[in-house]
Amino acid sequence: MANPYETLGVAPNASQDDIRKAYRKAAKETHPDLNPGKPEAEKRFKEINAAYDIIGEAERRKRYDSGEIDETGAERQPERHFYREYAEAHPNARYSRRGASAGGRSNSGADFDYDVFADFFRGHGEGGNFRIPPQDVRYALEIDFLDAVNGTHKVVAMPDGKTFDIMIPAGINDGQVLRLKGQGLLGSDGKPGDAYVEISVLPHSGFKRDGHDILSTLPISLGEALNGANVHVETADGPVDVKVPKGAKEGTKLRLRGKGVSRDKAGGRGDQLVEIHIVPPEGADEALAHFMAEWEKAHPQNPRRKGAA
Amino acid sequence: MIRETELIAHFTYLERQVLLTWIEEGVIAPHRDEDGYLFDQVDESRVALACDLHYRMGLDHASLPVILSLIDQLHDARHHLRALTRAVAEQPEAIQQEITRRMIAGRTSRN
Repeated sequence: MANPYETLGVAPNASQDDIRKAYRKAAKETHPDLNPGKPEAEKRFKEINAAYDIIGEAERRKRYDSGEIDETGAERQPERHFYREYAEAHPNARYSRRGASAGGRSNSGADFDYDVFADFFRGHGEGGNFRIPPQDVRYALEIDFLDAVNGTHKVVAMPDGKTFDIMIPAGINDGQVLRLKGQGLLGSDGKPGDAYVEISVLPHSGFKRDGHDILSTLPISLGEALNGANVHVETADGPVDVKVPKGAKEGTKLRLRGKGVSRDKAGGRGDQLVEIHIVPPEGADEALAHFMAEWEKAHPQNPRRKGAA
Repeated sequence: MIRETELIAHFTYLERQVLLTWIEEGVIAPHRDEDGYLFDQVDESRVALACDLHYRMGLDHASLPVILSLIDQLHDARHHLRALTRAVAEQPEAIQQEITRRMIAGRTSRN
């Protein structure tokens, strides 16, 4: 038998109170009569009982700690029959509600949990010849825009409590379904079905997808448009320096090669298209207004005319 | 079947007065004859459970009948479920599969 402190999961200097709490928690989870659907609980319950017999009582614990008695110092537990061995198999009028009242049972069965069925249908017990084929299960998962572009590795807990370690491949599309082989529900033959995870890609404030290209907008000032400029542009890989050409026009698209979405396993990528948007000067004053009026006198322009630049 | 003194001797902690209270409350319902109570194996296993709950897990006297009643209901439910499972197992395979399919559909749609 193992060290009783380890069996109960307490430190060797734990207080009697802590030991009692640890025992009660473990007993609640493993007592065969409180866990009738867990055939494996009995062995663990006997272990924690033996451990508690040694260190659950201060006097006896002192003798164990000083080496007077060892792990086998627990009293041998006589062969024990748990109540569950009788209670479920054989109706017993003295303790069961089965014989006692015949009325008011119309809704019994309505709130059985599936897990109870699973326990029975899994093949132990008398229902063992009931066959279930492996079952596929479906899940939905939302991921961030950039995770979809760059690919990621996610450990996600699903609403039914299952946890999956999922590799999201770079370039995954909204609505695409990933198959996790063997992660579905077991059939009665022990073979698992598959899990299918449908991916929804969340929108991004700065980027849009167009096939393998990424679209974004680049606001620049009028001065930058006239004189050209070097500016930072956000990409899926982080910021890069981009040269805005002298005389850039509204709506011009700059192509950043290879900054788009992965096209293939070899790593080929689409482009990022950066659309220029010229922002009028903020806080324009008299001097600028006067200058523009004079300048337009010399360079007449009607942007509403067809074919106007 | 054993007598009261033999039963008490089987359990390190069990006090006679506590056993009598349990009998009075119906937690334990032994047979009896003119010489007193008679406990069979079902009674004895139930006393063992009550001892675990009270002496080792710290349940007080008032909670014990409540917990045991819940445990009995759980066993009843499992008994009915077993009967249902047997009945389903006797159905043709197509029906079994349909039942399984619907059970699983009902489970995943809760998400």
